[in-house]
Parts: sequence; C-alpha cells; structure tokens
Amino acid sequence: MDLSGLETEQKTLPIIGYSSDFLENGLPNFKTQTLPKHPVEKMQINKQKNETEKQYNMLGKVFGSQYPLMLRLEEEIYSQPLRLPCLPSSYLSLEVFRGTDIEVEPEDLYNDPNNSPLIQPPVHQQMEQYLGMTDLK
Amino acid sequence: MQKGGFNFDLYQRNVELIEKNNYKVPKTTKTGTTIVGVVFSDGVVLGADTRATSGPIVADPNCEKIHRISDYIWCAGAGTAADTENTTGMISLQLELLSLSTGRSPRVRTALTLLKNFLFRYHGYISAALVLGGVDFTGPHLHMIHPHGSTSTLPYISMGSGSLAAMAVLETGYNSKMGEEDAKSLVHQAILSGILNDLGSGGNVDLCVIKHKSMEFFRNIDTTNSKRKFRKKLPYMFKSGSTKILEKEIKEKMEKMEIVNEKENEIEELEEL
Repeated sequence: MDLSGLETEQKTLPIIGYSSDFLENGLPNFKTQTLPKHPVEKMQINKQKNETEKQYNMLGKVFGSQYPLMLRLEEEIYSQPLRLPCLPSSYLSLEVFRGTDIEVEPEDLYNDPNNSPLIQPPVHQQMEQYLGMTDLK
Repeated sequence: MQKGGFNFDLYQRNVELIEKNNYKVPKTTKTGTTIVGVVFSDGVVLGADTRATSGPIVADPNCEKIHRISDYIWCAGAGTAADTENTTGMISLQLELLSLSTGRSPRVRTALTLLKNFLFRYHGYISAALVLGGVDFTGPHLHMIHPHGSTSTLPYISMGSGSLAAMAVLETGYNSKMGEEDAKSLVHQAILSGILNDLGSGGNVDLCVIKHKSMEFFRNIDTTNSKRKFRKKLPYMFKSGSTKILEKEIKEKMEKMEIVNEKENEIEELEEL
C-alpha cells in the first residue's frame, strides 16, 4: 500500500484491508467484497454519514458556513477515546451531541456483540490481525 | 468494529441459490388478521381478532394484537407477529424517553412519525401494518401505517387479510356523530365479520376504548367463535388389550439397601487410608 500521499503529523502503522491470518480467516478472497449487498445493509452502512452531511449542508446554508465547522470540531472532540488503547469507551458525549442517547434502535437491542456466543479473540490477537503482524504468512 | 442489529450474512448465499440453483423463493404470506380502528366523539376504539397463524396452522388461538405504545396511545398490528411486537416495543421505549426528556406528554403524531421513519428505513422488509390510535392533549387521532412507511389519517380504518370484510361493515355503519357504545358495537361487528368471513382471522374479539385520560381494555369480549362445538373428552382412555404386545421382558427389582452399605464400607476404607 502506498502511503506517501497521506503524510500527516501522526505517523500511523500500515493498515491492510484483509487479515493475514490465513488459518483463521482463509485465503484473501476479494470476490466477497464485490458481491451484492442487501439494500437495507447498504443503506445502514451509509446512513450515519449521509444524514450528518445533509444536516451540516442545511445548517451551513441557513446559519453560515462557520456553524457547521464549529459542530464538526465538537464532533471530533467528542469522538476521541478518553481511555487507554484497547479499552472500550462509552462515547456518551458523542451520543448526546448526535441525539442518539434517547433513541433505541435494533442495533442496541439485537445481536449485541457483548452477548455473542462466539468467544472474541483477545485484544492483542485482534490488533495483530488488523495490522497484518501475524506469525503465519 | 462489530455492531449489533440485523444480520445480513446469508444474503449472498440466497442470491446465489436463486440465480444458480433455481431455488423457489417462498411467497410472501398474507397477513392473517383483522384489525380495526374507529374515531368517535370522545375518543378512539381499536379492535382486533386473536388468531396467530403459521402457514395453514393456528399457532396461537388467543394472542394479543393490541400493543401499548403509551398509556393513552395504543396500536393494533397485522403482519409478522415478531415485527409488530418488537417495532411497537421499540417505539414505545423511544416515545417514553422523548417525553421524559422534553417534559411533555406524548402525542399520537409523534408516535406516528417515529413508526413511519423506522419502517421506511427497512424498505418494507419489516412487515408490520399498524393501526395507531390514541387520545392526547390535541384530541383523538387514528392513523394507519403500511409496512413500507406510508401513512393515512382516517376516521375509520381496517387492515389485515380480513380488512375487506371489516371495511364493508364499517362503511355501512359509520357516522361521524357516534357515541361510545355505538362505536364499540360497530368495531365488534367489524371484527366478527372478519373472523367469520376470512380464513386467516379467528378466535376472540379484543376491544380497546381510549378517551381523554382513560383507557379500557376489553380482552376477549366475545368468545363465541373460539368455542369448538364438537370436542372429544380428554384424556384419551384406551381399553386394556387395544394395542398388540410384541415382546415381553421382565427384570427383577434390585435391593437398594445392599448398594448403600457397599458405599459406606468404601468410604470407611478410604478414611482409614
């Protein structure tokens, strides 16, 4: 992956799109990424982003471009994790900002990943897979 | 990050099955229900039958189809039972949170908007056809909500597979100056018409009368259609000798006392060791 165009102040570790752990997840198969997705799934993936973009657009036209800029800054600040890395954060201020603290969605009630019957692999192993640092190549 | 909610893992498999293996897609089943709502001078009357079907079989002969959204906002649901129950449950939660955070009593119109937006997001895949009725500080309201998210506001509504039978009764009997008793009897007749003339509806009649700061739920107000006339007396009694005996094996009863003594001896021996 060519990261030369993405020079930022914070240098990040290279992120690979597929997991290198072939025993666990099988050989990389890009076909699965190109297969059709359920229309509702497609909508859900883009929902949050599209809604906020529309909102900010509208607010910018009504109140001036400074206002959505201020809101984006607030959202950035609230999205920062305040805990040590690998510990889960509740992002309560982000929820209050977005107004989702009083919303109940199927995402909150059904298929809670904390209640899944599959045992999640430990965090270090997950990070190794994410960064492509596994032993098996 | 793994998120909750609906699971779409099998979609690609289904697409392949349909395209390559000529899999027959199961047809969408009709909503086997009759639900009715009527506005009268002081409030709203909601009615529903009580049969829950699973294909051609009656899964539950006496289920509850009228769900609570708020104290004075109730909703009758047709379609997939899981979808109607969980949708109304979720919207009831949201409405409660909203009314607590705004400090105002909930409005029927708010519930309508929440339900409509929720169902539209799922493009009709959540098959919940609802009749929403209630009385708030602005007066009595009655709305119908289709699974794709379209809504109508009408003085009398019927939905479900028995909606045609019920609507026939409503059209002949409705007048805008009805009182409570007239409205109750009209809804009762409409549901009965659905129960008698539609195969998907049956069981008993449930009524819900909502007025300003008052709600009365008449569960199983009419049970004449669910009592089966010809019923065999239970339990089944078979005369001895009615089944043929193929094999006989007689085992002798073992004395329990012996086994207990052996265990005690073993424990004593172990303790000695």
